[in-house]
Order: sequence, then C-alpha cells, then structure tokens
Amino acid sequence: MSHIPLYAVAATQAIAKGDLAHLKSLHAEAEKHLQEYGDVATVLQLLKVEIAKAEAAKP
Amino acid sequence: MDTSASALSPAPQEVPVRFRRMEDHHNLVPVHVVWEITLACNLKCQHCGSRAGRPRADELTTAEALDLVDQLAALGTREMTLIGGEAYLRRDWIDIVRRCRDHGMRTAIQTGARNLTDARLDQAVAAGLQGLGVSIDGLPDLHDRVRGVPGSYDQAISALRRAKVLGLDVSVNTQIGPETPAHLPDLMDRIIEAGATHWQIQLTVAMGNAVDNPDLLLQPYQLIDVMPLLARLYQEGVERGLLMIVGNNIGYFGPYERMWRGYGDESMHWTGCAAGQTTIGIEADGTIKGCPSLATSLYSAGHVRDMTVEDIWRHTERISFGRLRSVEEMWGYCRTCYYADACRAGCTWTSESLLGRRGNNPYCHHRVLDLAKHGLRERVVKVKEAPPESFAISEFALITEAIPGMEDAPPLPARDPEHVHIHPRERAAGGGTTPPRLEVCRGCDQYIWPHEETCPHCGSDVAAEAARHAEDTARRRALIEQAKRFLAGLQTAGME
Repeated sequence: MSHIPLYAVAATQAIAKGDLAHLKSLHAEAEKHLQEYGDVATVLQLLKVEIAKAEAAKP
Repeated sequence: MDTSASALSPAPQEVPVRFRRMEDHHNLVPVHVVWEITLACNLKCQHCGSRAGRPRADELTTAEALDLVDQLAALGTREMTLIGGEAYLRRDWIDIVRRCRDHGMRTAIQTGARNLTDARLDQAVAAGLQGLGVSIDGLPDLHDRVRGVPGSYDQAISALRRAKVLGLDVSVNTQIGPETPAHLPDLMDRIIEAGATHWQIQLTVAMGNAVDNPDLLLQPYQLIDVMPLLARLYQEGVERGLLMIVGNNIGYFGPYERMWRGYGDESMHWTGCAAGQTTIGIEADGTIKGCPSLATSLYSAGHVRDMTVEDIWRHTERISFGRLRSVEEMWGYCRTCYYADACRAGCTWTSESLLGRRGNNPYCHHRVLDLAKHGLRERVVKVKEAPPESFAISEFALITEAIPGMEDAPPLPARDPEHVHIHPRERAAGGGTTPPRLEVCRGCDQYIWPHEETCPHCGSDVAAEAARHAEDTARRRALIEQAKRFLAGLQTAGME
C-alpha cells in the first residue's frame, strides 16, 4: 500500500480503483456516447415505426 | 462528469512508484524520502511543526546534498519529495532536482508557493521536476491568516495553474483544523478549477507552532462530523477527476477505510506507521529520521556527516522502532482495540506529539464512534508549552467526558488486553516483515481479521456473507466486461 508522510507531496500517480470506479467510468463513457450520437434504442424504435409506416403506405 | 481526468482512466499496469511491493517490506527499501532541503521559509504558518523561517545553521553543502541523493539511490529510493521551509529558497535546489532525476527518482516539491516565479518553475521543469504540491488550508481569509501572509492564497492558486500549464502533476495538501471543514466544499471546487488532480487531507498536529496556537487543532470528538464530510467529498471528487488522498493521520478502520485507503482497492488498508520501514525523513542539516515529521529530540537516528545513510538506515535503534515494536508498548483505548496489532495506534507523529508517548491515538474514527455508542467523547487540552526548537513537542491532557444528553448510554465494556489478536510476523532475511492483511466482512463492510467466522462487529456469518458478495461481484464484473465490449464496439464503429 501507499504510505503518506504528512509533509510529503500527494501521491499523484494514485488512481481510483475497484468496481465502483470502473462502473462510474463506463457510465460516463456511455453518457458521453449518448450525447454525441444519440440513443440507439430510440433511433431503432423510430426506424421501425417509419419502416412500418412506409410499408403500410405501399401500393 | 469529467471523464478526461487521469484519476478515472487508469492504465491497469501502472503502479505508482510510491506503492510498496512485498519485497520492499522484506528488504527494508526506503521507497519514499521526504527531504527538508532548507528550513528557510517565506511564510509564517501558525501550525508549522518545524517552525520554519530561517535556514538551519549548518545545512548541507551542495556536494553533501548530491552525495546524499546518490546514497539514497543506492538504497533503492524511488520517489523524492523536496520540502522546506520552502525548498526553492535553497540556491542549489535545481541541482538536487536534477540529481534525483538522473537516478530515475520520481521527484516533486511540496510548497507554500509564495514567490514561486515563472523563472523558478521553468528551471525546475527543465531539470526534470515532475510534480508540484501546493499547501492550501482553506478559502482566502482562513488560508492567509493561518499561513501568516496576506495574498498567499492567491499565489498558491496561481502556482497550481501555472504548474499545470507546464505539464507538472499538480496536487494540493490541506490541513484540517476546527475552522477548515466548512471551507472544504468550496475549496474543492476551486482547486479542481485550478487543475489539481489529487488532494491530500491531513489533520493539523500538535507540534511546533501548532502548540503555540492550540485553537488550530481539531478536537478528537469532532471527527464524528468531519469524517462523513470527507467521505462525501471523496466520492464527489472521484466523479470530478479529483482523487482525495487521506494522509496517515486520517483513520482508522472506520466505515470509510475500505473506500479511501486503497482508492477503491479494498485489499489496501491501514497497516500501521511505516516510519523507518519504507520511508526516510531528512532535515536540512543531514539529520536522518524514520519520517520527516517525527520529533527530532526523540527520533534523530544519525547524521550523514557522521555515518553513511545505509548504516543509519540498517543499524540505528531510533530509525528501527517501527520494525520492532509490538502491541505491548500500546496503552489506553488502543491497547485493547480490536485492530491493535494491525493499526499500532495510527500515526506515531500525531499521537506522540500530542500525548508525549506513542501507542494511544484519540484521532481515530473507529474509536470516536465506539466511544459515542457508550455516550463518551474525548478532547485534548494543552498543559505544557513547546520549546522553541524545530519539531518540538509539548504535552496535552486527554480528557474523556460524557456527551451532553447521552449520560444514560451503556457503559464502555472492559476489554482484556490478552484477547487482542496478534498477527504473526516472521522476519525476512532482509530484516523486514509482511504487514497484516485484513478482510472485509460483507455483512457490515468493516475490516476483520482473516480467522473470524462470525463478524465481531455485526455478528453475521462471515462465509455466508462472503459467498453472497462473491455472487454480486461476479454479476458486476460481467456487466463491466459487457459494457466495455459494447463501448469498444461503438468506438470502432465511430472510427470507420
């Protein structure tokens, strides 16, 4: 483990670890992707609806 | 949420050089050295343990200082923190930085940052300096008052920003006194904005100038409010790219230990004061101690003008106290504590400076919570002034009293010192020992000794709770892997 003498500089190479940090990191990445590209599930649903409409309108 | 922060995007193979490997413990490697290269200082801190201001009368010459770096490198030192006083008030500090870097040591300074000019920073970066830690003890009014110089807060923040631009790892150290907690949330915002990625938190200790100003010392019972605040800020910090580093006197084994000691790695927990085991402290005149903060009068182990660093490190009694001590030297509450042999009463500096004898430490969250369950709390009162020397200690009385309104709480049970669990320590050929390794009870998330079948804290079946936790962990890890694959796939698709 790390030892933190109190007059020393902080351990700036230390990083957050563990499942919680991983989950939060992945959550943030997914959120970023959503903001950038939108919600795949919603787009999929809209595509289905439009396909259904287009097919219904076929002569 | 800021995902760009390095604290949230670890490369798994990266292990900080300061982290101890098992062979470091076994072979007594002084992994991290904290070196006061001068006692000269341009601040007037009311809590300064070393009473810095003027340089020591006989500080090391440049040749002696560079030779000292060479000796430490030969002993295996991997990280160097240069402090003061104010490290850059020593004329040859850049030469010392360069020599440390020539040996491949990770090198940083901890500073008050007054008059840390662009020219000084540029020189340090050119010499290979890697990190800059700035001491900030609150918002401007409090910081400037405690540090004794108007405008010092602004200079500290400015130094953070400028160091960040130059590519240094930038961090902040904050000392906690009674007035500090109210400042912490706003201070966190400000240091994140200034570019800090790490924030070391520690309690102000009753040494030197702090003894002259005892109002700057937190009372032990106040931890009951301070620790939940720190835990909240720790969690917020992780989400905002600021990793809180709890110093050696923030502890021990309370409800937050598994969260912050290993930054999320629960296998890392407090294992006792490491002074003289993997750490060296050096005073500007070449005095060697097991930790930079320890009282010179009690822990000066030798002088580099009289002996080699290796001889001081390997053979002097005053540096090896931590390697040889046992629970027998502990006293008071700590002597019969469940964690006695893992904890060894926390930070030696903090407890001994306060009570004049190591082995009993009222600044402990586990202890504060336990006492509170029984309607008790502890406070300290100064009974003796400290002498004028650097790193001087005095004496405080420890008072145990009833918490107002809790006079009817069940009394604290008597605990038999014979029932304290003793961790078997076999000495390796290199002279060191393996630190104890506790486990987490999954019924209450408190640390327990590995032999426990029933949790002494919550009474749960340890194995059953562990099995339940293993299932949760497996499910969580599967989700992590699934999310990683999913996001990697999206990333690949986005690049095509």
